[in-house]
Amino acid sequence: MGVVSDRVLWDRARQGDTAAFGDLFERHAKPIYNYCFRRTADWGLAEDLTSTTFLIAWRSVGREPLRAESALPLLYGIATNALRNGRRSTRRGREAVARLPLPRAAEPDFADEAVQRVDDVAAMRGLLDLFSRLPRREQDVFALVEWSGLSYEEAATALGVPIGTVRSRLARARERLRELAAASGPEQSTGQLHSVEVIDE
Amino acid sequence: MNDNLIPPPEREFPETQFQLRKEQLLAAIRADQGRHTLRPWRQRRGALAIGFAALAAAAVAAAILPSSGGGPASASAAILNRLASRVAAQSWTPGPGQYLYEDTESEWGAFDGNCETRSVERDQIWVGADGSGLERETKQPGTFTSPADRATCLSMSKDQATVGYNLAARSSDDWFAPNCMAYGQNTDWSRFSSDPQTLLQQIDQLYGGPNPTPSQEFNAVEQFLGQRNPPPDVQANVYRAAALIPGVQSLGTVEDHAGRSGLGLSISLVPVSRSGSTKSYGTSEMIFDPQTGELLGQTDTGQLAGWYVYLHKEIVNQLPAEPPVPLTPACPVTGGGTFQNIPGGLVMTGKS
Repeated sequence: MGVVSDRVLWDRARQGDTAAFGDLFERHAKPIYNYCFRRTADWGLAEDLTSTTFLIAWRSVGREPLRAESALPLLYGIATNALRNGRRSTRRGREAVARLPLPRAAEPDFADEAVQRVDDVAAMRGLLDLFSRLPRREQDVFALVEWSGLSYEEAATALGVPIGTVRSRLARARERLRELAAASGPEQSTGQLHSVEVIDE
Repeated sequence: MNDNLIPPPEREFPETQFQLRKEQLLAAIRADQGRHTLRPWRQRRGALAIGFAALAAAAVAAAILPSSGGGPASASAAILNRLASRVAAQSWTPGPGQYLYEDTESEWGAFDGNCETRSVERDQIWVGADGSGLERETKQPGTFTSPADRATCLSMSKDQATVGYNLAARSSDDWFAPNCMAYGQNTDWSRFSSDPQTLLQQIDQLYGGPNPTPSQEFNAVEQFLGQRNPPPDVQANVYRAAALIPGVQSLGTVEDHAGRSGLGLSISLVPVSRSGSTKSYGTSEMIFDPQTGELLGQTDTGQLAGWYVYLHKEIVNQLPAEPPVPLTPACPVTGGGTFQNIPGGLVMTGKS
């Protein structure tokens, strides 16, 4: 028997089948979890944001049918909004965030992976140090297309913007990153961004 | 992609957490299913909180609560309901060959560690009746907040690129062929309820996330009004929805950052912390034109201060300049076309 499509699961969920929505969680939690980590450099927060994303998705299940075959673009869009709200509040509430307890450590199955996850956090923080200098809407497009592998069409669906807007924001993001890397010093400007070319139609 | 920009590889969701999260999600869903009708704000918060305390962790991490009272029947609610009647009478539909022009200015801090720079940005947009138009963004040179801040920033040698980027002036013109401008064109406003309670929940879902606090709901309304440019009837409904948010205070007549007088409404921002601190760290305000009901500005005070002012809105008969290239062909579907970089900006057309 073939794999049941997201659209079918979504329709079942609309009719009250919670298990179908659980299947969607099984299917897509991992990419959303990794997307949230890459935007926050925080595995614990990524777990929370993944849960939040699926909860909000559930609330939209009853109102709208799934137009695409895959629920992933929609989920990425919801996650992006969740991240946006989190950052907005974080910007406003730096002291509040600073007072919060440290996120609990992830619980990997193997010690090696625990070390890798710690390394991931350090690597991602370094990366976000540069990345965070982009305007937020350009960050969203870059993270979806370059880091999560969405097509322009999927990113446009996720963000609720035209494909052309995805293209333009991505082009600007690449250009800005190239400028930033060049301005950061010779060790970061020796052609490392050559593959990040602006793609003109 | 630049090696420096390649993120770490994907990891599995930790198995124990995965199952726990899934069970919590399904429990929350079942709790949701038990709600046959939409409930008032306070009841909704309570009902959701029972089902998934852990799910709320993300919201709690960012949560902010009002520090003082004021319920839906407060003076602020009465003001919002009056403003709703006035704004509903406005009309902003351009005729053939005309454009809706909007001019917005804002100032926020750009943070990098302990270094804060500020700059004023202006966003002008001309949206044609045929979906063509222009978006012009102009960022003024950034400034330091004080001599001490300047010294801090300049001492951060490793971050000179950021400081320089934040201090630099920039501008861009993005041109759109007919049917290419997405701003306001693709929105199906009919999906937003005219019932204030339902609409508030819809706005929460767009911006506030689950289990929002009153100040998060207030912020969500600010974002909806500021970013979505709803038509007057929807805008009026948003005001009526905002009237349901508890804790909103009337400030009376205040001035926005453009020096215009208006009616101010405010909510206090208080961080949620494990220590139980309820000390406000600032306020979030909206200022309205008492005559037209239009939103004049939004201002945050306190340690993370910033502001928007909605300077001007009118129907105009032409663009401020000739497009540098022909704006053809039209986009085949609304907002769906291709971009080309041009000096000083971009142009979007239906060219394949």
